[in-house]
Amino acid sequence: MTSLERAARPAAWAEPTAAVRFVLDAWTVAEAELQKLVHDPTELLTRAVQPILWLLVFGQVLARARAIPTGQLGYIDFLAPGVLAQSALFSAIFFGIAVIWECCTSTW
Amino acid sequence: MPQAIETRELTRRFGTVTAVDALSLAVRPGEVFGLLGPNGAGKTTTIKMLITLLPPTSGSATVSGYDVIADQRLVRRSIGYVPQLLSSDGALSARENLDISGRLYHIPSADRRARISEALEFMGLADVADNLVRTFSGGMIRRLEIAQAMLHRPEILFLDEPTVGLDPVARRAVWEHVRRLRDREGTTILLTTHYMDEAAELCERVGIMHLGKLVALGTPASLAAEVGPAATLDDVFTHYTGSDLDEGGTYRDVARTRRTARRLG
Repeated sequence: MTSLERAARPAAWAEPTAAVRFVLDAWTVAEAELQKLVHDPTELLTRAVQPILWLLVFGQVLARARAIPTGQLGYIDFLAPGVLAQSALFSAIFFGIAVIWECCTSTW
Repeated sequence: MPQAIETRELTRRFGTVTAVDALSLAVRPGEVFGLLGPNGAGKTTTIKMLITLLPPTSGSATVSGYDVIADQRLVRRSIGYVPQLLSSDGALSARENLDISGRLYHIPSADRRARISEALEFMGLADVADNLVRTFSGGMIRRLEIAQAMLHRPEILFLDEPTVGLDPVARRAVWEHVRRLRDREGTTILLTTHYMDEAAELCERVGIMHLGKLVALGTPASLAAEVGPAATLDDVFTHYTGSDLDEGGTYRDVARTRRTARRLG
């Protein structure tokens, strides 16, 4: 096929630029995940179990033990931002691994 | 008229294993072409190279006139792909799954909504459009996946083992929809299968692959006639691959097929 014939083929719609595509595609995937939570809100609870355990079990135990010096700050206050950051980070890592698994390890 | 798909000496090696060995093949526009072969013959590797998910080790291929290495984006816009494994999301409804596909292909929203309704109607899923996909049967999921792959009206559709794990009634329904799609859209369809009845039923031409090479090519009827007067496509298959259908497949293949079947069934 010559390049002339190719150019003559009508494009159904304009393709956005690479940067716009990135934002649109990322939003599409993120919105699909939010939609899943709308369908099944109990997911929110299961996802909250781990950080709650961290705060209640480890937080309470170590706060009582005073094993880690946190100065003026209470141990729970010291721990909370870390637990939040860890939850966000782990969710992102696991989701990323799932995506890589999906795209790259399927069979031939 | 240029070929819809053309490969020249297309080769892919994994370590010491040559999965696809100097494959030269042409698929005509508008035809339903079946790629047959036992497990491990290189069918899926061939498809993965054609849809730009896997770079060839050597050789070249064009899809819809575009080179699979140099024009990847253009190839991807021209094709639809239904993988062997589950690709719809069970935690979302059929309509939402279609919406994701449409948005990832950047179909403008008004157009997208119209196409989604029409695709649901065409695939016989309009009544269950807002039900979660995990409540669907295997055949319904396959039809939804085909609808997702066709939403951007590709010129060429790739179906990798479209009816694996489906019961006979669901298989017939999938075949029927594939045929109607071809008749209505004029889409070129390349499918892989190891069900000989499926190939005989759907395909105008078939190519039989064995150990990465194309060992036979022709219409199902002409291939059968070459092998013997009363030969079926099953006999053709056995003749060219030198193995009974039952012998094919490693533990991994079996595990994979069962997994697919369980997810769909």
